[in-house]
Parts: sequence; structure tokens; C-alpha cells
Amino acid sequence: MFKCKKQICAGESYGISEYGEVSKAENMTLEKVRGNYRRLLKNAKIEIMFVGREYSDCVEIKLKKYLPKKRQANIVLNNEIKERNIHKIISSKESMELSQEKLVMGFDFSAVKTEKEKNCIRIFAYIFGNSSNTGLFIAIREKLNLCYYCSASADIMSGIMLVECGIEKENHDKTTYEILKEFKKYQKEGITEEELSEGKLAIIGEISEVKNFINMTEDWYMNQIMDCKMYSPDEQIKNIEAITAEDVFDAVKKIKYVSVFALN
Amino acid sequence: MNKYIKNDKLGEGYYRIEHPSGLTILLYPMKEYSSAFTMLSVKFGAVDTNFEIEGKKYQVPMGTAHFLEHKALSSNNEDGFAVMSAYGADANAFTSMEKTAFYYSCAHHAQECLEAMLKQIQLCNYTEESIDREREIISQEIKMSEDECDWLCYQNLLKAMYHDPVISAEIAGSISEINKIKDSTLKLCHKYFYNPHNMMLVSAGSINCDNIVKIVDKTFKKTDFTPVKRIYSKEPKNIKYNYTKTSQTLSAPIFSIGFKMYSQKSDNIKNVIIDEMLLEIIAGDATEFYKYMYDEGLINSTFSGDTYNCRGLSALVFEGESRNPEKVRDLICKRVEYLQQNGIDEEEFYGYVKSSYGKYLSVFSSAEAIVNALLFFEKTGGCIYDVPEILSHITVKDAEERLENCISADNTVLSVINLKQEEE
Repeated sequence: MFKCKKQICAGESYGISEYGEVSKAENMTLEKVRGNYRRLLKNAKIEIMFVGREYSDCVEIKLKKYLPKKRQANIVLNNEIKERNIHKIISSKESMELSQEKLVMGFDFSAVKTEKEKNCIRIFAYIFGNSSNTGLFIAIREKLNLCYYCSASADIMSGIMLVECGIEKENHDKTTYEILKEFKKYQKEGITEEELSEGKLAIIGEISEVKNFINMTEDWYMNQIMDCKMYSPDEQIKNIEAITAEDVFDAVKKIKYVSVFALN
Repeated sequence: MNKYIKNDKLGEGYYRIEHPSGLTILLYPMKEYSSAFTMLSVKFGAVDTNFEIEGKKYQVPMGTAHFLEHKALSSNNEDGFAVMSAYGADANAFTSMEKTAFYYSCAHHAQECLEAMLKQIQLCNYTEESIDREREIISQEIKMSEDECDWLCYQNLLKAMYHDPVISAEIAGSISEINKIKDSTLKLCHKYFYNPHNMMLVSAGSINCDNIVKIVDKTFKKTDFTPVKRIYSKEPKNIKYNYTKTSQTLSAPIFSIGFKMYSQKSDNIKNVIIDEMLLEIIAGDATEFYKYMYDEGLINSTFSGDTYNCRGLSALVFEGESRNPEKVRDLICKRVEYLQQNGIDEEEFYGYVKSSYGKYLSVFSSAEAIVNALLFFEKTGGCIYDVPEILSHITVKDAEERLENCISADNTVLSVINLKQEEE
């Protein structure tokens, strides 16, 4: 999945693996690591998240005591993605001895800008590739029996949706054709009210879980900060509830198929 | 008999209901929880390929329980998963060695989801056409798992540890085995295993217990129960062979080390707790031993330990990546021998007891964890609230005895998936 994403994000930060590259890791020196660590201590934006029963400011006090006195948190968070102009499908494959081909198709939605549109993409990604009632599950798995799994995941921050599945190698062309056909059907016809209802219920259900777990609550607010927003789970639920089928239809028109990667 | 089981220290409790249909129901309401997690568990798993009903013996292909799981909620052209999805539920199912489970999590419409699941699970109107279609899908699932090296390494470990091929077979079966599964096979297994007497319904979270019971009253009627005698081969105490190696295209070799335990009482709660603690004592990440292996570059952050339990058999398993898995195995075996000869440090041991207690308490913050724990304790004949009492009585001598009597370096298997390019 990362390789497909990397093709789309060539030259962008989103195209860099969180693990880096082997050659760079092998050339790492103590001085470089130390230098970067010092820079982090001096310049990184620090967020102290407390989720629990009794707040204690001891963490804040100790951090202030041990961090460099003259800090300059000059890292600027920016959630804007520059709209990508990919006009030709980026296609690549790699060989590996496998029982089945791993196929990943990449869709770019960097043209989606508003929070409302992003929520539409969340709902669409669910309907298209995560429900056992609609979309790819029905079209590719249940009707055509081409795969065991065929799912879609949308990364809102990078503006990329990936569809992945495991198929027989000889079904590569048929599967890519059918996945695109299903996608274009939604672009042309939109989603039904039943699909909208299901998508909203599913997303709202996921958001509702946040309140049940301390680590999910922390994760939620950290993601809000990284995305330069500050919606509580309840506020986001209200935003999702307000979405209409028409809104989703308009947002889906801004998604473009741009990349395919196959490992077989 | 219905009862409410309460724990005063936690200030919580749950209901245990023996429904007239034969279904056992466990309901654990959680205040201020925003969703419900529900699981219907059927005591029919991958190991149940040989059984006797009313004096007649049956043998079904490997992978039958898993195949039935795929079909169980779709009958009469209706799909229970589709109905639950329409209500926004996150629904799924799985088959393990000893059971098949259908579950969902939802913030709304929990009653509609439950009704859909319970209605569909009782039907068994599969067409040959739908079975053939599902066979194609399961074939892809089997191929998917063939490409998962961690899973392959583990399966090879089981094949080497256990003589009974049923224990080490793939849960989904093989392509040749699933081709033998017919409509009649599924109907036979459904009739005798998918009976309320053989099932358990467990729900936790934001639940309305009265409504759940009413839905069960509506959907599950009193049914006759024909006991099924499960036929299992007697498993010898010793391993089959101690080393297995295959190769795949990987970036680093991966390994699984299994200590097959001699004790046949491995589903006793106290022993399960001790086994979990032994994993930490032998090579947990808080030990100097772990640190030594890590600093020597023998293991990395992928290293972990787990217990294997099936039909009262168990094993301690350590897995990870290593350029020298043989050395990791030798060191862990030496570590075990060292502990057997010198005993377990008492202070460290009671640290692990406290850690186990902490892990136990964390279960109560998750509806899903509670459901899984309730199922586990029902299986062992205990209660979820027994753990603190058991922990308070576990001594270092208990752990040393289990280590001494149940584990031996001679009864150890190393499974390795090596780099294909190195083999060539």
C-alpha cells in the first residue's frame, strides 16, 4: 500500500516512509542523531495530553525543568495539501513469489478542501470499501467472487484513498476494470439514501467509541491538533449527521483514479 | 437457573441466564459506555472434524467449521451481516480451533442487529450454487494466508509440535479439503452443532438486558438437543520433531519457538495465569535476558511471547525476527534450564503478580475484552471475578513447579522461515 501511495506522493512528505530508507539508516551517525534530537528538544511543538481522573501538573513542571530554557517552537502545522495534477495513471509492479497477487489502486482527492467535503469522503470510503452491504464487497467479492477481501481506506490528511485486494494473478485486468466500474458508478449516480444512512451510522458509531477509551480520546485530540482543528467527538458527530447524499455526490466527483501497484 | 453475579470491589456485576431454548446468556451492563459489543459463540471449531452422534461416527473435511461460519448468516437470500451493516454495526465472525463466533459492535440499533443475527443463525437453506461461490472466496482466503509468513511460521511450528494433524491444520482447511465440502456436510454440522444448547450469547456495554432476553424469547424456541461426542486423538506428550525450516522472499528471517507443555490441565485458570507469567519471567521485555538478546542484535522489537491453548493442550511460544534464530532458541532453552535449577526470584515474581492484576483490571474498561473474558471463564467453569483470589494465592513455588514439571528444553520446536535468497 505504501508503494502505491509513494507513487502518488512523489516529492511530498507523505511519500516518505516513517521508517526512512535502508541506505539512510546505514549512513546514520551519532552526530546526526544527536543533532536532530537537540533540534527536536529546542524547536518541536510539545503537546501535553492528560486524559484521566485526577489531573496533576507534575509532568508539565518536570518538562519545563529539563527542557532547554530558550525554546523556539517554530514547527508550523499545516493541514493544506497542494492539489495534485496527475494526468496519467501511474502504474508499476514488482515480482515476488506469492500465492496471490496483491493489488492496490490509488485515488487522489487532494482537490477536496473543506471539512464538510472531507466528511463526505469518510462516508464514501466506508460505503465504497468497508460495508458488507454495498460497494466493492458486493461487486467484487460476492457477485464476481474475485477475492476474499477488497477494501478501501481514505487518509484524509494526505488526500489519498487506497483500494487493496488479493486476487488470482490472471484476474488483474478484470479486477481493476470492475473496481473502476464500481467507482465510476458512484461518481455518475451518487449514493442512495440507504447507503448514506448506513455510512453515517457506521462513522458515528466509530466516533462514539472514542469516549470509551482513554487512549482513543488522546489519539482523537492529537489528530485534531495535527489537522489544525479542534472538534470534540460530539461536534464531529453533528457534522457527520448534517451531510446529505448530494454533498457526498459533489465531493466524490473530486476524486481521481491515479495509480495502480501490483505485487505478483 | 438465572443469577446476578456481583463484585463489590468493582461495583459491577453481570447476569447469567439459562434460557429455556438451551442458550446460555451472559449480560454485562456498563454504565456510561457508549456502545455495545455482542458475541454469539458456537462450540464448533477447526478441531471438530470427527464426532459421533447417536452411535454413528462422522468425519468431515478440515475447514468445515470455517466454511459453515461463512455461510451461517446467509440463508433464504438474506444476509445477516448486510442487515447489521445497514444499521451501522461493525459486524464480523471468526473460527478458531474450538469455536466459531459471530459478533458485532454498535452504538445504535443493537436490538435490530441482535434479532437479525439470531434469526439467520438458525436457518440453513444453502444452495449448491451459493456454496460453490463461497468456495471461490475461501480459496482466495487460503491463498492470502499462504502469503503471510508469520502465520506460515506458526503453522509449521504446530505441525512439528503436535502429532494430531487436526491440531496443526489450517483453520480454513486446504483447497483440496474444501472441495470435498458439500451442502449435506454443512447441513449435518449445522443441525447438531448450531443448537442453542451448544451456544453462548454474551453482551457487554450499553445494553438493555430485558430487551435482549425478550429478543431471544422471540427468536430462539425450545429445541431438542442431541449430544455430540467429539472424537479426538490422544496426543502424545512429546513433540514430533524439533526443527523445521522453509524459505520465502523476506527482508529478515522469522522464527517461532514452542515449548510443548506436558500438563494436560492447561485450561485450568490458575495454570493459564501462571503460563502467562512464565512468558514474562523467561523472556519478557522487563528482564535482563531480553535486554541482553536485544543489545546483541539477536532479537528486535518484533519479539513477543504468547500461550497456545487447545483441547487442554498448551505451549509457550516465542516469536520474532532474527538473523540467528538457532542462537535465540539455544539461549531461551538455557534460560529455562537456569530458572529450573536456580528458581525464580521471589521479588521479581510478585512484581509479575501485580502486573497480572493490572492487566486483569484493564479488561473492565472494554466491552469487547469483557465479552472475551466471560467466554473464557465459562469454558473453564470459573468466574471472571475469581482472578484476584487466584492471584493472591499463587506462589513462586507454583510457578517453579509448573516450570519444572511442564517445560523441557528437550520438548522444544524451532520453526524458521529463512531468506529465499540465502537458501539459494
